[in-house]
Amino acid sequence: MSKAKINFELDERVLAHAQAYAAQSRTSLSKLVSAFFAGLGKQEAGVARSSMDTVLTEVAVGKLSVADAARELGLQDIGHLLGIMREKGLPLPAIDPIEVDRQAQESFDALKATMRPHPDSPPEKKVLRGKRVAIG
Amino acid sequence: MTTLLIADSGPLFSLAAGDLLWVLDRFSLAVTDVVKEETFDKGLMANCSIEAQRLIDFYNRPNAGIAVIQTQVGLGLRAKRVVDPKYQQPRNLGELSIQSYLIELCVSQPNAKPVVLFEDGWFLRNAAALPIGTLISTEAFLINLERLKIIASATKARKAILMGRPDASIIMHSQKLGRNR
Repeated sequence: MSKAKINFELDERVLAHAQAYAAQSRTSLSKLVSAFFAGLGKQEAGVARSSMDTVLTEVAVGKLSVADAARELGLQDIGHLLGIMREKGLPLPAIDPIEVDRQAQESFDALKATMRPHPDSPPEKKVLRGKRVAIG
Repeated sequence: MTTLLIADSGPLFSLAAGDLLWVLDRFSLAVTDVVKEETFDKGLMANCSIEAQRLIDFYNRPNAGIAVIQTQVGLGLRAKRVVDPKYQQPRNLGELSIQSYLIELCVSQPNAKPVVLFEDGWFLRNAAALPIGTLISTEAFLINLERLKIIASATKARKAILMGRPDASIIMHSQKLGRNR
């Protein structure tokens, strides 16, 4: 099979991560990318194979996202999936509370920066500066 | 103003389940085209869930102002569907659409520090490879909403969500971020 060369831009950190992974796996970046491209569209093509219980269990243990699970089960939307999980008594995965607290602490200022002005808050007062007028 | 990027369907469906979507009014929001399709667009369909109905109502309100980011992943997905309407979407495409956007952002605005709201564990597992400024889960988001006095109680909000969702407190996964921020 003939081969072609391609160029694409990549974040340096992502590239370093990929290079480290390739080295660890004793393979090359070319082979990694080639394998990824070759698998596109095939990897999950036969997903209908999974039984409902398997899919739901994968959601419960955090291996599968709710969006993917709903799609694989042919459900119209995630709300229906949540209903089925509730009926079957299956939980959704939760993050370690210590991790949640850490995220809350670290994200507070950044989150504040994403806030829109409150629609009910009074408009900012403008300070008007008058010209000094000499008297007399 | 920085944007709060909603990275997967989980936070939106959680807030919809707890009838808490209104809290998002206080933030400058963005979703990718793929996440929009998995969330708001579902409310347009007949027999949609109550959560999906709430989501489309929220999206369609005047001044909702939710930015939708077109991504290479979303474009590719739509192109695939034109050729094959029964195209089976691979797993984690919503997450990959965010990743594609974050990488683009990293190139176009190197100083941008996006705040990413997520629920899917994929983000914690892949945090090391993502150029994210701040990663915040729905639960941490609720805690901060209380601190910002947007809601009275994170605990009550969480209970409201759990009433509409399976019990998220039964299984606890100790997932740590892959790097320090």
